[in-house]
Amino acid sequence: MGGGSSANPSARSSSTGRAINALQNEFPLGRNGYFGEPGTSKTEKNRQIISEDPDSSFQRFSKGWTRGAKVDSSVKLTDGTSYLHPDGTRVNVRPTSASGSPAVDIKSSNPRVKDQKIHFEGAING
Amino acid sequence: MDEFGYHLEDSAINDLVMLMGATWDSVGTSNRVIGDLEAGDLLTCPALLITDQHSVALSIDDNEDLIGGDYETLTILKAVPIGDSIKKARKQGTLFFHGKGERVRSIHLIREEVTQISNGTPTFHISSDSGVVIALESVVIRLQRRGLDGFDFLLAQAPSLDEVSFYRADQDWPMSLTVTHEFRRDLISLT
Repeated sequence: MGGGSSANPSARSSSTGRAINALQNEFPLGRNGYFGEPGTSKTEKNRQIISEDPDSSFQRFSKGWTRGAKVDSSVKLTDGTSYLHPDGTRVNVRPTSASGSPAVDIKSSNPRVKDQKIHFEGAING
Repeated sequence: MDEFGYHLEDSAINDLVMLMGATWDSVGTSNRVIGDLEAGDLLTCPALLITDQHSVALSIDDNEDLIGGDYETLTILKAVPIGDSIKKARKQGTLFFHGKGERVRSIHLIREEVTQISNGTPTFHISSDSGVVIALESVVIRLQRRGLDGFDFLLAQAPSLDEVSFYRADQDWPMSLTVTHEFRRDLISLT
């Protein structure tokens, strides 16, 4: 049999674990495995992170979640870049999602994080 | 209730049917492999199904759709030109040779369906093709997309069709007090 990287789950999970820890102050991971708060839909995996500067929040979140991951050029996103972590977690960074707001999809192999799509929305003042 | 269907095109089905009766070589990818995940070995696109007579490359397209009030990522399975993928995969050693030399005895399409029910009322129904199950003489190969929003394939094998395990795409659709998801998976014979 050919193919297959050597299995070392503890080592492979480190880049996603580091992302969770590095972002914990600004983007805490809830006990339910989700970031942010529920979105407008009824599906819990649709999340939103609301801030006064959503583009900046999106940039910081994306940077944290793609550190240690490789770009996967075999995935062609409508607008964005797909990254694959050594533990198999896939992170799709979408500067413009179908809804118009920047978004990050996480397909997680880390048991602490559930699969989710996070939209970055602006706070409504007043 | 809104209905969404993301099914393999007829030309891709015909490509898969042409594997029937051929002598199996291997399954793999010309891209990356991450081994030993819970649900199998992860293959990035394109996934290659290789026999002595005919080969098929499967890939996954991005797709965001407005479903249940928000945009979901719901990827689409498709067949793509093979090009030099097999040569590249052989060179980098990203092929798996379970059952090499055996005849392809049956091919099944994996079709997954999710129905969302909100406060007792069906909201949407999604039907999506997710991969294939190929039975050889002594082993069964399962190549399944990692969920309805997945961009990767999970590869596993089993001694028989009855013993094939699948990635649980239902776990990607969480339940709450008011919203539930009904899930089903069918194996559709192509032969």
